[in-house]
Amino acid sequence: MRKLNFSGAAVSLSVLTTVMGQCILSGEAVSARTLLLQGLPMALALAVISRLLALAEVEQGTFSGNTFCSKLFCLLATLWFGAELVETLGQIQTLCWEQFSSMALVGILPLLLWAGWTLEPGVFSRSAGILWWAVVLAAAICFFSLSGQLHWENLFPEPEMTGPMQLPIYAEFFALPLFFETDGQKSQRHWVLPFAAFLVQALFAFGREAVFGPAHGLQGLELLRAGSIGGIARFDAAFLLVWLAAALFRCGMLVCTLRVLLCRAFGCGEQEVPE
Amino acid sequence: MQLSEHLETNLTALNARLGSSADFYAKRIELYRCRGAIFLFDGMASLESLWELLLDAASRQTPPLLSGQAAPGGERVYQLLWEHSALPAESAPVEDWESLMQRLTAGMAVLLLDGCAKGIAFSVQSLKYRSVEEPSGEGNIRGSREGFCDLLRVNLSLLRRLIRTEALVMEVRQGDCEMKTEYAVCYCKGKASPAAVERVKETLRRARPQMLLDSSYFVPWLFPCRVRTASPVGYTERPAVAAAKLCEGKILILVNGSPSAMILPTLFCENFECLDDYAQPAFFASFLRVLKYGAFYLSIFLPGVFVCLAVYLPELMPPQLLFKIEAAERATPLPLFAEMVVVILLLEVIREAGLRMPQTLGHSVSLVAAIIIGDAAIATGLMSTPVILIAAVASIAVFVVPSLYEAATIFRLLVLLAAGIAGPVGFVTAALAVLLALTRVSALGVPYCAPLPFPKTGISQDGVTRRTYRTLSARPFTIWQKRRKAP
Amino acid sequence: MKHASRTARWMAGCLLALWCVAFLRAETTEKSMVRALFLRQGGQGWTVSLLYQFPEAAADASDAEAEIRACTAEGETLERAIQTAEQALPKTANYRLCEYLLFDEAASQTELLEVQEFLQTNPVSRLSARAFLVEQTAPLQQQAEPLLQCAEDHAAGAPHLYEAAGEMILPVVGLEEETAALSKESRLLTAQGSAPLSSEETAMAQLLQEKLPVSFELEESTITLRRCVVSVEAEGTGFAVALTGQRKAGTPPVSEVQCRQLEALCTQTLARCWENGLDLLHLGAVRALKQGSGEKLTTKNAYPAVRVSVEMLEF
Repeated sequence: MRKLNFSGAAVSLSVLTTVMGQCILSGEAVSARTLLLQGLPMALALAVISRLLALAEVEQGTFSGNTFCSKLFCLLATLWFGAELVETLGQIQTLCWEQFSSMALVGILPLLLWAGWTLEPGVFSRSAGILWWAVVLAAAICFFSLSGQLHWENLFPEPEMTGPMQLPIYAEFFALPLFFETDGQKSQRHWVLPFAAFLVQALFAFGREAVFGPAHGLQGLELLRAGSIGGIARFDAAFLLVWLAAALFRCGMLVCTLRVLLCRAFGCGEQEVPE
Repeated sequence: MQLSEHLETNLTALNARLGSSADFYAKRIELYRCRGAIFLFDGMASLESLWELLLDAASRQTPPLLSGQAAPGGERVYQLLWEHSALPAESAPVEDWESLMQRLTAGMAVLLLDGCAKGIAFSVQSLKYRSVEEPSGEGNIRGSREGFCDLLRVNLSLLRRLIRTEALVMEVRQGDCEMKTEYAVCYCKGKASPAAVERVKETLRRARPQMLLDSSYFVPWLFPCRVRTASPVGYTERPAVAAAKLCEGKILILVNGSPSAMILPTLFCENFECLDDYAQPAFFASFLRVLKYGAFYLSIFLPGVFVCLAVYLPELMPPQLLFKIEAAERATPLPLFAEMVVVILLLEVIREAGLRMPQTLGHSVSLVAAIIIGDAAIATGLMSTPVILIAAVASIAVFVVPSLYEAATIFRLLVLLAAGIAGPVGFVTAALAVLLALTRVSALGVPYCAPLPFPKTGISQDGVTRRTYRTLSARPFTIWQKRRKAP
Repeated sequence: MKHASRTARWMAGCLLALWCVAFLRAETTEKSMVRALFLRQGGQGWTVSLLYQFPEAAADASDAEAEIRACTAEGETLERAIQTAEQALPKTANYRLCEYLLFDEAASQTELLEVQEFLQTNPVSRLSARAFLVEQTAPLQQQAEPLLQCAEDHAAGAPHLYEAAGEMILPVVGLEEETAALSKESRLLTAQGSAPLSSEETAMAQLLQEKLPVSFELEESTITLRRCVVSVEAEGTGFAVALTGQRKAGTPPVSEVQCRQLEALCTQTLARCWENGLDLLHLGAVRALKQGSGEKLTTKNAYPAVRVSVEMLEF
């Protein structure tokens, strides 16, 4: 039976990419203070739930596909991951159309789905490390390009309370044993993933508020556009390209995951291909 | 098919098979009063050596025939010659036609005796081969200047000279091809994985190449796949490099008639190392490696990035450069993307022509090509200077890492086409495809893009940068050592 | 069976190629690159000038020249005016390099906010574009190149458009016959209106916003400060502002008298900005940081007591 054996870097990159996508595309800004006061406890609670579920799933073999319940869980997970795939593709298409006036994603979609379907999980894990370097470099350049525009004073005028915030929840938080099937310890170590997702959200919100001030109503993408270094006054396109690579990577991973889940849900006997 | 006891039968059969070949030499002789015949290929075996070492010695030692005594039979003479320690006879007898042909084509002389169904092969080779010279494709400043030649046995001896332990094993086989070319599988016992060695040997044994002219002909059997963008094997013509790889537990394949030795499994990062890498200070060696990585990625991505930025993302370019590119594109008939494709293909044609043409013409043609491309095309407005500059830089940069030339050329075109047709999305997709294509490759369970050495650390000790050789020697590296459980 | 499978594969490949071709396109660089927008709101609508670059053809890039040109159009709305102006461009407009927004000298904060709102849905420029006021005394067509060059040279000192939500100090570019130069004065745009700042107040405002180097024409001589650290502390009911500066190498040292003059100028500038609705040093935030939540200090309150001290580092 084919096993998913992603690395921690691959799974975390996948989740944080879609979090970043939501931050970039979001128009309504949640104030940093609200995010800290409400989001932090929610993230911690999610992390604890993730850990407990990981332990239970490892023990029960929830995603093994051997029992009827397991097959049912696999089917439900298929639906959830499928929805995430559609959401990520939607994010990519929105950005490509708005920023590059390009429908190329639709054109390469069959290739993308085919690649995700045929590639082994190990390929994604090996690529994740390199993509992480690109993401970290892009984030560092983005941060330095904003230096001089981050004003702590903008954090102070307290905006009006807009009601409870919603923390996005991803299927990866509750399916860690599925991703780390050959290493149960790893699934227990990665229970902090919800917290990492919250951290990215919080940093982005803080950045937006520090640059634009509270209650500005500007899209998250404007934060990337605000930076400048030397003669090049606009780096958002470069950062978006890095995000795009990570998002396509995430789509490939999700398709790979869907393949395994579908096989287990419907009982296809797929052999693991040796190297 | 077994040899016959009768000399005439064997002679007739040999004449039927090889009699029409001008280099086939067959001579009836009498040794120890027994009729026999010598067979060899002229130009491959030395008749003088044969005469001196065998025929003359045997003639002088022939015992007198007493009256009434019958001449010794073929079997008796065979035993005499076989046990004679002064004769340069091979350790295994020639018992069948296949073995006979194998020995003859190896440059040995074969003696068949009347009344004996076995023959004796004598190592009197006098093969003409290219001498051990410095290889032209692998330049270095320090270190050995020797290179493999075309003869398999000589190459094996070069390796044996460098690895002077019993650990080195070199197994010679004949390829299952029309030419029955010999190949050798070399490895160090105790360092190479026995399972991997057996797997390689079995694969080579089952391979059926039509011809075997180089070790690279085995690659489709070793790593079967429909489309191969990068091969997890390396090649070298230097015995020093080959010996170093053997000491890391890798497997070497040498083919008779080719100086190129295949090394497997190879890591991607090893393409950026060279023989004198470890002879230089660690700091400078690290600097050169960073330069090589930069040159390699520049070669692949520069044309695509150029087209993508100029056409779709002009804000990432300095305006001064941008309007020069725009002015150039306005003056030429082709759009930027098409022009870049044409120039890159043209440079590939020039490179290939320069490689294949006679050396006497090489300089003239290179000069003419440079003038045509560099000057006349711009003057007539067919091509623009920014495009030619970018394409030339990309084409030159790849020669910093010549072992990745094929992969880099294909990737460059792929990235350029994707960037030109699909813009930033296409460029990113192509870049991701390049990454996945490289990380997908693995050989014998070793991923191509694994860090060096194992286990994986934050920053590799001998990766993009390297530490001092003393530090690296403290923990000797083998390709099969356990690494942290990573995919 | 094999043949059918091969045929099916070929057909699938052709379909895939057609699918890719349907959604992929190749473009060229032949576009009119708009580098700046000059916007003026009049009684009957908007007047928009597009400062664009469209180089002449030259296969040898060293011969390439790209003159900055301007084309102007009017319209009832900003969107209409821009569309009309685009029609006069030689090629399709491309706004990815549009980094400067130039407004008429008489522009108000309302205009800037309207432009900001427009740009959120029509990205002809971007919200981080640098904003300038232009004092136009000559036709724009003749001054397009020097105007753009001046904006490029002084971009670091100009505010971003997204700061228009608050109050901002806009530099003024003066257009003359064949030149464009940054004026030493500037204008303060707030919700209350537009107020001019003198050259000394402008220089002090730049210093307080740490946009260096800055020169001051004081009584004894001209001093140029290369570096300056501005620290603000809440002190009782007032504030203490400390300016620790370093003069530019090769300039005469700053005397004690000049330091006192700078202190007075700083106090004057802060008070003037406060009166016109701009809390230049974010005194309200400093107070909130010290005292926590509570009544916030804004420009609607009386100007607080501010003690300014200027110190020069002599190394």
